[in-house]
Amino acid sequence: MSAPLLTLSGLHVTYRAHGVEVDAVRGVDLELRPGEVVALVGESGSGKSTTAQSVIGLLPAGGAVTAGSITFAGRELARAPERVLRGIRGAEIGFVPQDPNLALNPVKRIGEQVAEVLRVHGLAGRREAAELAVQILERAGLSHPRARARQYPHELSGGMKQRVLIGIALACRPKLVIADEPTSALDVTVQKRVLDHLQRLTAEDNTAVLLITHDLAVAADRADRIVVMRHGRVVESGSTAAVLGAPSQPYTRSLLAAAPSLSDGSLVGTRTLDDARELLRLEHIGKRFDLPGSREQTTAVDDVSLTVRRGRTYSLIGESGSGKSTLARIAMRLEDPDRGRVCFDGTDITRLRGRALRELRRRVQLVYQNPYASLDPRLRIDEVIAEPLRAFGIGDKAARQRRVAELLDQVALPAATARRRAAELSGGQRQRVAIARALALQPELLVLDEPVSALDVSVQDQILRLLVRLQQDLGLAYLFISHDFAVVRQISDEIGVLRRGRLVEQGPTAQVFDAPRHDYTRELIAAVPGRARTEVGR
Amino acid sequence: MTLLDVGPAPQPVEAPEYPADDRIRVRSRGQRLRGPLVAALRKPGLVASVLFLALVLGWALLPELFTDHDPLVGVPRDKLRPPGGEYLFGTDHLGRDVFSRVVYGTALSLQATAIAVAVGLFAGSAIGVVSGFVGGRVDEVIMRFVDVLLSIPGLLLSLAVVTVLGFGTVNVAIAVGVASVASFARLIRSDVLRTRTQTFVEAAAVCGVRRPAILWRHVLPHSVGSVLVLAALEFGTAILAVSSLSFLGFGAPPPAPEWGALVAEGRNYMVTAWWLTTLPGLVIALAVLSANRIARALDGLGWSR
Repeated sequence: MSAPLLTLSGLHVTYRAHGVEVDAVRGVDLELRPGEVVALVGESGSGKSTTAQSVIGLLPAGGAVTAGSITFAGRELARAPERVLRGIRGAEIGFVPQDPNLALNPVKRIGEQVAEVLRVHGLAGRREAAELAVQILERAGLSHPRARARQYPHELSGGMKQRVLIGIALACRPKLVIADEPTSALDVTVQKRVLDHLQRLTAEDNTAVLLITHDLAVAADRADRIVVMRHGRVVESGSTAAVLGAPSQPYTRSLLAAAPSLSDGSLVGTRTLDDARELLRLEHIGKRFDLPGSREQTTAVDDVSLTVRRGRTYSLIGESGSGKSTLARIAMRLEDPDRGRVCFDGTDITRLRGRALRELRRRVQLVYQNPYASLDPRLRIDEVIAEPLRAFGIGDKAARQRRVAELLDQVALPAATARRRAAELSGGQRQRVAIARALALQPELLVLDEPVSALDVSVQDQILRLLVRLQQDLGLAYLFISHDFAVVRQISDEIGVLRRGRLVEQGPTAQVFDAPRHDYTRELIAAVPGRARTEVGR
Repeated sequence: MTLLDVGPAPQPVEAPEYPADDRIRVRSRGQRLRGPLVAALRKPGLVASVLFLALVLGWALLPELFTDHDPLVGVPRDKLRPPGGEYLFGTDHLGRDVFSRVVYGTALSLQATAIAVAVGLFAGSAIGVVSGFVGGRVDEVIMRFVDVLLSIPGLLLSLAVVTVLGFGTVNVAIAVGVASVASFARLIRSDVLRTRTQTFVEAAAVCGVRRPAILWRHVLPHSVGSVLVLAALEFGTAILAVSSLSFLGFGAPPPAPEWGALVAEGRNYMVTAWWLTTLPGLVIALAVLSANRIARALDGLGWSR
């Protein structure tokens, strides 16, 4: 066996700010051999990104390595001076950041940004670097690399930008690449292509990869070994097959159980659709938006018709930009359609205004994607949940407090939560509060706009189960928006697949999954990560 | 079943039990308080500013504690004495103690300043909030009007207003306040526009909350931070503007002391009795500097967020 390329031993990292100290990483040991792909898996706040950032000496302000050592190719990095680290970053250790939309300089051309890495490490002169940059872009899998090199980041899609960043990370042929959630900001189909490409390039050069991810399925598909982190410690590590096939720790087992995959059964079972009366019907909805700075318009939604039935779940699935959120907002009457009709419980609500529209809010409620943005940070949780009751003047103060307690109980939050503020709660708890608020008026339809995509897998699983239970108890209908086929499969009765504003396929869940009729549906299903895990698990 | 009936209470979902995250240590209250206090002591300019403004406030509230001399009745024998032990800031041509005139003048000057800032803050915020929250054509019209106000130099505008309103401390204050309405309106409008598009504001509308309630409960609390900082900054500017107008003679009629008027009275003796203009002028300058220093510190504390 070859000598390890990167060794972390007993690594401790502490953040300090405003009188609070957080030991983000507490004694992490990790080894990475040349050419090996290791996935560092954990939920948000587990310390996985901090571990990666400490390797390249780029901890955020307030963070510092307090104990332990980081050895890379025989050199100690934990206490190395900035000058030494600068020579290693980019040249020997490449870094692929999480969000490609933030990581490129918006006022410089792509080619210059790639060439910059080569120039600062003295690997090429100005003219030579420009030529090499084009080759690197080609190698990174971009079409028309010469033209791309002359473009600015805003002219490229997210997937293309991430390829550029991978190109930059690999430009100097480093021995190690650290990829921090490289695809979590991308759509599933793009995610698959980008990861495939990263895998091929690193395999060619025998580059070691430290892949940081919250997604066990991605880790299962790509890694030789998996290291599971929790609360700043390594919980379990071993070969991918061993960790996924026979996890020794309860935490790993629960993570595995929570991760949605296509092999999981449905949480709702097969319910008949015939006896359920229709509640919401969209007929031939069309919506166009003006493009800023031009006379043209884009079509967000094009001739979509669908029906949501009482007590059932209709899921809309599609990639970003497919028009699914616009459709949800039209159904909520937050956006007006250009064409078509919205009918709720037999009445046309397309042109409802003022008082009538406000009355509709009692019957249709919305849960937003991001629970960090949808709760007013200045209000206490009981004020947040009681807000709809207050708005409609329901009950007196004491009655509203009783209802808040009951709603908190329904979403399985402790009663003491009422006295706290949103900032003190975790993402999952906040989403429960948002659901409680949506339930306060006892609506008949909940529109759920990606309600779990901002949450960790184990929390995601809890919220999905909560939604299913609430649906059974209260007879709610759901219009569920998602980009994740694995999630949709678990909770839907019917599925509609949206692509560029058009509904390319819709039907009962089993039919769409087992016998997809449209190529795009097949492509979406194939792109869901976790195939390897399904095979290992069997 | 009415809305407040207790529904079926479902079993809480059992959360898996693992050791809780115990990585966070919060320092004790004493340790936490020590931090900002020590930090403040490292900024002597800020400490001096706070002390000076506290002194000036004391002058305004209880002037008789700080001086024994009468601000209005002079001792003709002691006229035009230079600063010394008996008369801290010297005396004027009527033998009145300049220091006690400064001390007794503080109340009028500060009162005018406070009114000026309040007029700017409330009128400006009201205009800006309406403009930002209603939007559309209303916003267009109000903002063009604000553009016009902003294009007129502040002091000139104040002069015009005070000429219309007539003389007197309160009128001077209103005139100064009107001149700052435009900048308050512009600032809070931009914050309201930003807050208005936040998800939780739309979430409130989805819950059926009416627009005035949304404005009051959700938009305003998130928008007032930066205008409060501007109000603190405006304090310094307003002291200066009020003093300027009273220097020009628009303020309280003589012999009532007022900071700007004191400087004006000393103009004729500039060569022979420098203290008549210099010392009241110095007090004005120090008050403006202190107010600005404190406003900057408040901004740094994150008030604008």
